[in-house]
Amino acid sequence: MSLEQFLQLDLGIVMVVVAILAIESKQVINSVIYLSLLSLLAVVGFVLLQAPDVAVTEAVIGSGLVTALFVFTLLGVNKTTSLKEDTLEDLDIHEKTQMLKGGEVK
Amino acid sequence: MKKLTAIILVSILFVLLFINMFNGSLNFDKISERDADGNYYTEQPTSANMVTSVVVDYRSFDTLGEVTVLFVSSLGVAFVLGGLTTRVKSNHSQSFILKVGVDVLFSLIILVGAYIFIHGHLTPGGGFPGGALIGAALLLKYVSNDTYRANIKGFKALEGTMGSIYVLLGLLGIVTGSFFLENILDIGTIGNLISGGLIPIIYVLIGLKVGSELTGIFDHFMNEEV
Repeated sequence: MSLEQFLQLDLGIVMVVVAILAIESKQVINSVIYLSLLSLLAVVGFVLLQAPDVAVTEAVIGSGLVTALFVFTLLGVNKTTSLKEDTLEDLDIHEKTQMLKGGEVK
Repeated sequence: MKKLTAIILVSILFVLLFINMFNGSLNFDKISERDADGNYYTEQPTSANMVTSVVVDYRSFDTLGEVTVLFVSSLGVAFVLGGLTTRVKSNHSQSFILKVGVDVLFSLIILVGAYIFIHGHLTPGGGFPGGALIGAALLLKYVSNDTYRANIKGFKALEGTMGSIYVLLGLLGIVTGSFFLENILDIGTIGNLISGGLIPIIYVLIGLKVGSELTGIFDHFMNEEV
């Protein structure tokens, strides 16, 4: 087995492990970081397979922009849910269901 | 006035299409696979980077479709998040080092992005990675500075203009009597910076369009409800 084949095999195994970690991790932010790591490893794989065009695109979009979008969305979602939980404590059950359905609370 | 312009443009397009149909040259099987004489393009490469020849010359119509997909996704983001106007403020204080470092790196990243899409027909890369790099540079600005706002109206105008010019370049092929998005310019010496006919022009258009589209998407993501 040549060195390049060995590298590719190693890379593939690490990628599978990182992918499983991304699915199985409890916190969503960890999943996002593992996904970014997976893209980074895929870049190395594409370079080894002599596809520099795809590697450049994957590096910019896969591990850069998509990760940033996920993180910002996650921050926004966390903000909104913590706000809602604060207000929910003072309401009775009818108003809670009303609010979770998306309606206005009187 | 807008309606009138639209009607005139559409009728001109239909007249051109029908002229081509009656001449018998508008054959959808052959679009961007063979030239007007029926030869496959692969016999005569049009740029030093074979992938670019395929993506922007033989399969240029597919690339137009890809650009449209990105446009529709940015339209969807604008549709959902367009009503939000207040800029998101982060809870922690801004890092001074990050801010200064981003100011230094910003122009360099823009330069690399422009290099990638201008040299798309010579080196790996092209319009999409180059445009995404420009979008990433502006994203860094947004992350490092809580009060930063890009000139989104200007970016939207740029995006629309670039997309329209791409389609108009395609229609130019029909006007000159060959296929949609035919490479009508002189190819020149393969390997020079100015060679490949329409390829560098289209890659610059795609790069600017993708960059401004991604900036628009990030600007929408950085807004929140009051």
